[in-house]
Amino acid sequence: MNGMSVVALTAALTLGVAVPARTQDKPNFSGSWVYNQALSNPRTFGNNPLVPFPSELLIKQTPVELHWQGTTVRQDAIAAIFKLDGSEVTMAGAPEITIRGKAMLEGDKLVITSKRSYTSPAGDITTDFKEVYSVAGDVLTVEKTQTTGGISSTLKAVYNKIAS
Amino acid sequence: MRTKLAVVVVGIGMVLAAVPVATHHSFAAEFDGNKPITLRGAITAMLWSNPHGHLYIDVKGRDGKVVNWEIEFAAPGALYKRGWRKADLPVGVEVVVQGFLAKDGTPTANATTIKLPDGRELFAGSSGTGAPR
Repeated sequence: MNGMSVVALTAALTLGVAVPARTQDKPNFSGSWVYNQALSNPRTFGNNPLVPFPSELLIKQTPVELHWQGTTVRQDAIAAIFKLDGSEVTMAGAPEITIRGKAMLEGDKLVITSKRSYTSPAGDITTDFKEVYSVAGDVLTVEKTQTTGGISSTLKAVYNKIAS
Repeated sequence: MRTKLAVVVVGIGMVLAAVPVATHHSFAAEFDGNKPITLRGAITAMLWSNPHGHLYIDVKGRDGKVVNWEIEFAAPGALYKRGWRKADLPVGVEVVVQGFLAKDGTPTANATTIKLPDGRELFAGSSGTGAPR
């Protein structure tokens, strides 16, 4: 076997291994996730959170879509079916609030950005959210940035997968 | 006679006990956790009342119209434990309030934090235990 063949074979093997490895590396965020207060930042839940997080997340991921629902105790649930190509969709749930959002996979993370619009006696309000999800086994970590009125706050919450 | 007196005393006690019950409420009953808001305005009054403190600020809207907002806080005892003092909130001082809008559409909000002109940020939450409610 000459040197050229070795290079070609090595390249072929590398490609052959790389394809399934990339497929395996694609993270899967599917599951029912419940908020873990002990592992999350303070002021991420309960009354008066600085950055509100859902108490439960229900996520179903397919190769092209992400079905997402966030449920918060005594608040309206918010849900969406995102296309993972990052196209913008209307999110449903909260009355009197318009929510537009998009989701995409960035490496091993899932990034969901959304914009809420609603009226108030102070005029129309827009609040932006950016949520970065990372998963490790049965633990889901969500870093969320909320920006409203020119003030941004970022906090982290941890969720545990519950058996379905 | 004693029985009548006892009935009157118990009746007065029940009426007095009912007053704070009528004014105390859960966050979710009055405020919308899906509607965060940031307000900037000058203090017009601060009531150190139970079961919730109330701050009043004049907020100028985009149309230039000034609206007086009522901002609900925790009880004075809880605020004091977090470092709040009456001198922190004099009338006329500009503050930045972060919180959540009332559900009824009135200029009312439940405060999460208040930022003072000296840069201090105080937690104002009325029931921020962190526990699911």
